[in-house]
Amino acid sequence: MSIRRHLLPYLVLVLMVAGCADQSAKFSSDRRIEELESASTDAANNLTTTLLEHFGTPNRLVSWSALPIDYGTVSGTVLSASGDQLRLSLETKPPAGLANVAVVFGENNPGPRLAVSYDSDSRMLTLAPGTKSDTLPPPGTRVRLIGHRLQQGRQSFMQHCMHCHGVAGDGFGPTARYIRNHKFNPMPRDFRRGLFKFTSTKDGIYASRDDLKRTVKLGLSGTYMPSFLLLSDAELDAVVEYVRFLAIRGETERRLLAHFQPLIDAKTPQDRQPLEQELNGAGFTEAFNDAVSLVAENWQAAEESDNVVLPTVARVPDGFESRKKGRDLFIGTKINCAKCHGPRGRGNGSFLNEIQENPETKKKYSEPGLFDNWENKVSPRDLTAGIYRGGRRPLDLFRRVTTGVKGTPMPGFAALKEEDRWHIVNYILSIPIAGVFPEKKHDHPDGDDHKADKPAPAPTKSTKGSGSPSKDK
Amino acid sequence: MSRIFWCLFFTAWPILGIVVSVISPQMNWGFPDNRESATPLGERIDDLFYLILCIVTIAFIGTMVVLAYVLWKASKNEDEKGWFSHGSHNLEVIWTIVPAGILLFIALYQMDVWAIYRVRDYDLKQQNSPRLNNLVAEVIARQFEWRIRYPAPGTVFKSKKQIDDWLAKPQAGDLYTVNHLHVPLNKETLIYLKSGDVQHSFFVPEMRVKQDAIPGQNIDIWFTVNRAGDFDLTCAELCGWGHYKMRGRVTAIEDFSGFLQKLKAEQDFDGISKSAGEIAATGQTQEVTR
Repeated sequence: MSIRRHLLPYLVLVLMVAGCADQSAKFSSDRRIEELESASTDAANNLTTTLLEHFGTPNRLVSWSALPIDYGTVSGTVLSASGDQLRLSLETKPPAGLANVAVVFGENNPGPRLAVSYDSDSRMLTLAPGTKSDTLPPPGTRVRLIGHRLQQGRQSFMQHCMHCHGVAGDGFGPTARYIRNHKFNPMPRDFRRGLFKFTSTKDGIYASRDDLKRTVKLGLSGTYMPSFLLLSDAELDAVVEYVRFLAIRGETERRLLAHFQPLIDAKTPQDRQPLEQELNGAGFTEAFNDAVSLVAENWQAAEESDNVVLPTVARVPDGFESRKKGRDLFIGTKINCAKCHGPRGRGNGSFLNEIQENPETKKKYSEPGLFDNWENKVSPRDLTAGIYRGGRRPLDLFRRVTTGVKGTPMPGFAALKEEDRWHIVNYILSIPIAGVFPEKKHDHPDGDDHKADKPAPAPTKSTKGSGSPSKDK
Repeated sequence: MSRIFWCLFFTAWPILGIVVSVISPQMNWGFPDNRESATPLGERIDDLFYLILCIVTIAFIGTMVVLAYVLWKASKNEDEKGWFSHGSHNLEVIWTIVPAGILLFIALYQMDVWAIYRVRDYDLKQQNSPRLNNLVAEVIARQFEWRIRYPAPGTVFKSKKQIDDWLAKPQAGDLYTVNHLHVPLNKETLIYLKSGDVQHSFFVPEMRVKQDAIPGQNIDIWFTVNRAGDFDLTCAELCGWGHYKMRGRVTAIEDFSGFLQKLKAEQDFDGISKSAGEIAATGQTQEVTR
C-alpha cells in the first residue's frame, strides 16, 4: 500500500533525472555523408574525424589559425605555475566566465592546452589535466587564451538563431519547417555554401562581416528573419563570427563531399576500390587543404574594401524624368526587369511560366518557376509592396541592381551605366507610392518640403485608366 | 492537538502573505526595474490599482479572520458536529449587494481613466482637429519583431481620412525602423498598432501601456511620456515559438524632429553623401537619452 502511494512521485523523479542525462551536442552532418558511408565507410570516417579534429563540436569548438576568424584572444604572461594552475597577468580584461579556451604558450606552440576555468580575482587559470609529457612553462612565458568570442557567439547563436538555422547552420532547425510550409517565406539560410543573398560586396564575393551584422541587426523585412537590434555590439560581433565559422565548416564539408562524389557515384565494388585508394589516401589531405585555403581566401576577400560596391556617381535626383527613364529600362528589352518582376512590378513576369535549368547541375527543374541555389522555389519581389529585404536605402537598391541577389536568379547589372542604375532605383522606389507609371502632375520626390502640408494622394487615382504599359512608352 | 496544528497552519499562511506584501517594498522584492510610471495616465492607473488592492486587502483580511476564528472555535470543540445551514435570505442579499456596490463604484470611478486611455480618437473625426497631428508612428507587430513607420517629417494631417490613407499604404518620404520606437517627450502621442500575422500585444510596463494588436485592425494608442529615457517594449501575448525574441525599446526624446531628420539622412543614403554616411555606418540611428 505504502509503495503504491509513493510510486508516482518516484516515477516523476526518475523521469526528471533521465532527462538530465549528458547529451553531448554534435554538428549535424550533411545528408550525403550517409550515401558516402554506404559507398565507403573508411572515407566517411575519414571525413567526419577530420572535421571533428579541425572544427570540434558545439560544446568544444576548435580554434584554428588557418581560418580568417576572430576567435577572441586574450594575451598575457605567466606569473607562476604549479600543478595544473597558472597565475597570469592578462593585458586585457577577459570576459566574465572565461572557461574552456585554448591556452597557447609562446609564439608557435603546436600543442595548446585546454583551460577549465579562470578566476579573475586570484588571476588563477586552471588547466585541464594534460598528458605526462606536458610541462608547464616558466614564469615570464607569453600566453594566449583563444576562443572566448566564438564561444560567446555559439551561446547567442544557440539562444537566438539555432531554431531556424540549425545547430550546424544548415537551415534545418526545428522551426524551419513552419517557415517552409508558407509559400511566401524564404527558407532559413543554409550557411554551408558560403553564399548569402544580401551583401554589399561585388558579384562572386562572399559577405563581409558588416553585411552579416547588418542583416542580424535589422533583420530581413518581409521574411521570418527578425531584427536583433537590441543585442549588444559585442554579442552581434560574436554571432557574426560564429556564423562565419559555421559557414566555413559547412563549406569545407561540402567540398570534401564533392571530392568523394565519384566514389558515391561508383556502382560496383570493383569501381570503388581504385577510387577509394585514390580519393581517400593522399588525395584527401590535398583536397582538405585546398578546400580550407580556398574557403579562407574567399572569406578574407569579402573584407577587402576594393570588393565593396559603392557608386561613384551620386543618386540622380528623383523626379519624373528619372523615373520615366528607369521605367523604360525596367520594361525595355536590354535588361528587362519586367521579364520576372512583371510589367507592373508585381513579381509575376512571364518568365515564371517557363521551366528553368539548374545552373549547377544543368538539370531541368520539374516545375516552372524560379529556384535559388538551395533549390527552393523563389518568387521575384513584388515591387508594389514597398518591402525591400536587403534594405531600402538607395544605396542598398543600387547594390541589388549592381550585383543582384546572390544565389538567386536575380542577376546583377554592373555593366549598366551608374546613372541608369540610379534611374532604376528611383523608379523602383516610386512604384509603391506613385504607382507603376511615373506621374507628371502629382510628382512627389521623397518627402520634399513642397508636400509638407499635403500627404500624397492615393495613387489609384493616377494609375486608373492608364491603360497597358506599352501605351505609356 | 492535530486540529489546533491545522488551525494554526492555515492561519499562518495568510498572515505570512500579508507580512511579505507589507515589507516587500522596503526589501526591494518587487519586479526588477519596477519603476514609477513615465506617463501621467500611468500614475492614475497606478492609483486605481492601489485602490483595488486596498479593497481586496480589506476583504482578504476580513475573510481570513472569520475563517481563522471558525477553525479555532471548531478545534476546541471535539463533540459537536458541524452545522449545515442553507438559505438565509438576508445574508444572501447582503453578500450580493455589498460586492455589487463595490464593483459599481469601481466601474464609475475608473471611467475617466478608461476614456482617456481608450476613447481618444473620437475627436479625430472632426476636420482639422489638433489631435490629428499627434500621430507619431505606425507599429506593425509581426513574428518576431516590431516594424515601425513614421510619416515623412513635416507631414500635416488634416482629416481622419488622410490618416487612414497613410495607414493603408506606404507614402512618399515615410521613414522606417525596426524594434526601436522614438516618441516625443511631454507631448501627447498617437501611434497606430497593426499586426502582420497573429495576435501580439504592445506592452511598455514603465509607461503602463498594454494593447493587443489584432490582425486586420489599426488600433490607436495614446500616451504622453513625461520622462526622457529608454523603456522596454515587450510582446505580452504569446504569439508563437519566438515570442521571447520580440524585445524592443521605446525612447522618449526632446528633439524628436531632429531624430527624424537624422533618420531621413540615413535612409536616403546613396553611398556618396558623407555626413549621412557616417550615420549609416552604425546601421541604424540609436540615440540614448538618459
